[in-house]
Amino acid sequence: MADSPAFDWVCRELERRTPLDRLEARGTVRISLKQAGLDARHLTPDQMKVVLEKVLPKELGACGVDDVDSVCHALSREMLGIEADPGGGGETPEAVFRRLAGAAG
Amino acid sequence: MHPAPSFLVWVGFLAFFLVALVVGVRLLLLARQTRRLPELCIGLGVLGIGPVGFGATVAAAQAAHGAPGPASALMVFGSVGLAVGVCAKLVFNWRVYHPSRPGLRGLIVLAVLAQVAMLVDQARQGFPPVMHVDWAFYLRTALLVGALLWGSAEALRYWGKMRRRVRIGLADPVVTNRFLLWGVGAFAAGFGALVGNVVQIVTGTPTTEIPWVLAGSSAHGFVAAVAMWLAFVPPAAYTRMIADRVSSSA
Repeated sequence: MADSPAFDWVCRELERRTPLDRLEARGTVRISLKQAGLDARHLTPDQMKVVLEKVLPKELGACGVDDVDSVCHALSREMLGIEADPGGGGETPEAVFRRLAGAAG
Repeated sequence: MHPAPSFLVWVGFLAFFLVALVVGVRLLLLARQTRRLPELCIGLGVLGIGPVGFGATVAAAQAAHGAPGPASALMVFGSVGLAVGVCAKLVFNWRVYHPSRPGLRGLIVLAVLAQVAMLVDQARQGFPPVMHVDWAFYLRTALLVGALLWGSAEALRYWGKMRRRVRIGLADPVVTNRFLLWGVGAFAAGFGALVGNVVQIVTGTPTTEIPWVLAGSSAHGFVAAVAMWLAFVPPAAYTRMIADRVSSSA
């Protein structure tokens, strides 16, 4: 199953803007997503923005990347144009369980 | 003489029966509204395994000595309900957690065929109100316990992910807690069924005739009832408490 457009875009941009190669960039983002309880296939741009603000800076810093805050802020701002539809297709368990609350209403 | 379960045993069973009935019906009403498969499956699973399957088979066993005719009718109702409930639970687990995993569709089809085969076998025997240990008993136990414990493991695994999302403000704490409650409830129901059926396999005595097994099943049923109630019909004070706990630790 394909990774989401938000994941692919951030990895490509990290590869372009930092000394990380493709494998390092994708690995670092995947580690950040795991820490955030997210997965690359169902990632939305909004979720990626939060990861860019709260998780990724620390991981990039650990990789020796300079000026991580400005890189992450720039990526977060530029996420606006990324396709909102997650690449995984179908709905997530979170969406299903959120809807089940309708039974309580 | 068939021993009558004590009042305390009935409390657990009754709680499970009533909560599963209310929750199951509400989920099916929700499914009618949303027209979505997960709601339909979880509603059928809760109703089929709980009040219909478990309730009717326990009632059939209790009625077996005094009223064999109604007992067999209850057994037909319970067996069909249980089969539908287990199939619905398996489909829910597949469609919600692993919709694109190769091979799972085939396993689910096999499980449905196995349920049909067991129903045909029961019909051939005239739906005896007390299940005897035979190939169908082993298969029924494996499918019921498997469906419940698989669902529990998936919900608890997803709860772990959701907890991490809550920490960075990416998930609703009440929805997150719903995964935990559903996991605990399914585990209690699955473990209770496992213990009861293993005891019947080992001793050869129906579980409804072993007081401590009945008490254990009742306790598991009570835990499942509380978890389901808090997950799907939560009191406002409970959801406030969950939300407050997260915001105060943030």
